[in-house]
Amino acid sequence: MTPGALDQSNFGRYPALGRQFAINHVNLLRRLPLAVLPSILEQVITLDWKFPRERDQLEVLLMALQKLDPEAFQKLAAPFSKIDLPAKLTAFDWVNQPAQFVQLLTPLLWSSGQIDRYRDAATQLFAPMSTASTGPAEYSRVVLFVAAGALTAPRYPLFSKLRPHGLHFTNVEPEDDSSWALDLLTRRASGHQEPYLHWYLDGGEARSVQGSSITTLSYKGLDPVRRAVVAKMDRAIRDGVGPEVLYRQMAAMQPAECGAQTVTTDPVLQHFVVDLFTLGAGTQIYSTTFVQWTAREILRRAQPETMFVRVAPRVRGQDLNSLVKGTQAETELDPAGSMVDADLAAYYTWLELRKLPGSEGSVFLAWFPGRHEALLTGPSVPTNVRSESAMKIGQILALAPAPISSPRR
Amino acid sequence: MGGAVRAGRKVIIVTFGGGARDDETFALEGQRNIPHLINELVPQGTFFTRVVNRGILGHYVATASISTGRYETFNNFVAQPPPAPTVFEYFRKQARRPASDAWVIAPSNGFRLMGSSGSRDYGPRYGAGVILPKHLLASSGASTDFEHLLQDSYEMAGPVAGAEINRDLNLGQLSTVLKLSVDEFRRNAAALSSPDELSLYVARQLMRVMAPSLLFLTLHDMDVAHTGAFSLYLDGIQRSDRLCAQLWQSIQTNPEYKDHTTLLILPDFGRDADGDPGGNGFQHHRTGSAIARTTWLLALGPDVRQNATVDRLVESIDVVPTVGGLLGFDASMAQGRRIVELA
Repeated sequence: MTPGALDQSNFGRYPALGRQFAINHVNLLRRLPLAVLPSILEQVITLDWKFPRERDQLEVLLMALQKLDPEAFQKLAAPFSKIDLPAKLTAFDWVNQPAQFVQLLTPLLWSSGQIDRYRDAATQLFAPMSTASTGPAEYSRVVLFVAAGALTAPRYPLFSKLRPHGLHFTNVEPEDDSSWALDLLTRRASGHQEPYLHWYLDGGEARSVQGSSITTLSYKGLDPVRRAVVAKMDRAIRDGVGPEVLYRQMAAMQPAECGAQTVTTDPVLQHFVVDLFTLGAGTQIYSTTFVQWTAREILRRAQPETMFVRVAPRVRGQDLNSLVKGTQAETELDPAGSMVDADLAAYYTWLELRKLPGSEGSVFLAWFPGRHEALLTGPSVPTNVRSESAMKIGQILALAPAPISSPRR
Repeated sequence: MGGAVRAGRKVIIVTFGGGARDDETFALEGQRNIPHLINELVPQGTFFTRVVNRGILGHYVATASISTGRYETFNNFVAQPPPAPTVFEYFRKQARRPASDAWVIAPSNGFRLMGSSGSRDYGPRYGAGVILPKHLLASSGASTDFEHLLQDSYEMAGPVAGAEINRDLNLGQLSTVLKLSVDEFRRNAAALSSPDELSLYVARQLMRVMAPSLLFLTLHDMDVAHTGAFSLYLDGIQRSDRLCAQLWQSIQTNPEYKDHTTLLILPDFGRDADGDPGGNGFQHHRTGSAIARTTWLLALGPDVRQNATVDRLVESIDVVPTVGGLLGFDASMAQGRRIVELA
């Protein structure tokens, strides 16, 4: 079947929201070249499990494409029309298995030397998703990124990538690494209570937090899901499957297979949690990787207004075999390596924050109590400046110009 | 065109089959990870700052491409001989060298067929012997004490697969090629902390007992980056830095190699840039962005200009024609060009 032959009846196997979305936009979907259409259908078929901001973004994208005049639309679509697809892909059931189509397309693009052109074309086509504001833009985002006090590597140059973008504090007084952040999170969540806008992510065990509108994820709390995914990996490896098959098997895992219902009753969150462990590499074995990847995915997908991230020490790096088989003692920790991981995770979190609409008003504070160092970025916060003054973390946060202690309306 | 075969010349190629970014190596902020390269080796060699890989950014297919001088397009995850002749076949056929004169020391099972191509005019009769150090260790009856050395690759977890180990071949390589008893090999391996250290140990032993003219060594520890643990990736780079210095020291102290060996060191490619859409920074090499495609090359040897930097763009497939110039063979089917600063 070609995209031009699509009609409403083709989406009968889509979940309810996705089906209705596809039907609403079928005229546009018909006009898209086959080389890119499944990338969009991959989003549509999983729409029921997506966060509200993701659904809005997809709507924005398709509306933006719909509004293009024919010439502009053709200009965006033309590079995809030139991709020569083999019969096994054109004959593939790309309507009902769009993700699998994309998995088959990717190696083809690499082997035929078309990956660079495809990537450039996709960047152009999907640009409206990354630039359009789908939420209340006047609402400043706040991200607090805190390393547990145990994380320390004395000679490692902390914040080397972030320093040019913010105010670096080198004499931060010690105090509890979570209470102030949880207080702030609770205050902001009380002001704007839509779901998935306020997150607490912990690389260890989550502390108790007040507020029903705060979404909490922790490495310890998600242990049942993580262990189920690791067990699947272990079985697949013992069966001798290769990386590609393993990836497909993991990507196909559903919440019920992983015990996701034991960690949350929310189906959207169940799917999100399963994705973290099945699509994220290394999240299953290192808590620092879990935190970095999850923070990125929360920002990218949920576009929260407040996020508190806490990094705990990960297990010491050994061979993956032991880690997957579970033969390594999980109490053997690597605080120094974890601090290095966390330092880069802070930078990647900040980068992801910067990609969001309205990022110029966002506040980002990273704090490593074990090193007495913190870094603040935000509107009108000086960049590439160092302060050696003794400061409390609350004083540093107060330097952020946005009224972050309560939501702005 | 290839010149006359040059007797006595030797070439050792070291690739970092992990992909290493400039950010963590030769960029200002990365230099703390490579003190040996920066302070000891670069001053003795010529450093190429822009080496581009325009092919598929998968470790086996990219390494095979370096060895054939062509951008191969086969499935990275399927062990197979490269279609085009390898540097080993050009060398052995045109120089009429025995099998003992060209070797590959490879990091994982997926590389086991990279010693020779499927080319009708070349093929295994002109290929290099391939040593898989982890397979040697597994064949020696390694116990769980060696588990840290038996991780097959970092693209996914998994042990060196028992069914794919040719125990007779490996034990034969130990005794007849490396001249090591099983006990001696196991005793020495027990003192090593990583697969790359095991590979270097095998390389040095091979140099001592066989002194091959052409040796291709792939280091792989830094590919632990795929687990997302940045500190472990840095550890892998720092280890590779140290091992390269040790290899150069071995060249300088081995009369078979000293003063007539060219050492070429290059990562197979980079890794994704921080913030690349669709990537996750250093963790993978999936985006095909410029940072992921661009790396560097360090050349050392008797005819190599010392303390020199070359900023013009070269490609990773230029290595084979360049080695052809050094050893005196014509890499007729390679797509790359000879690097004029070296050969």
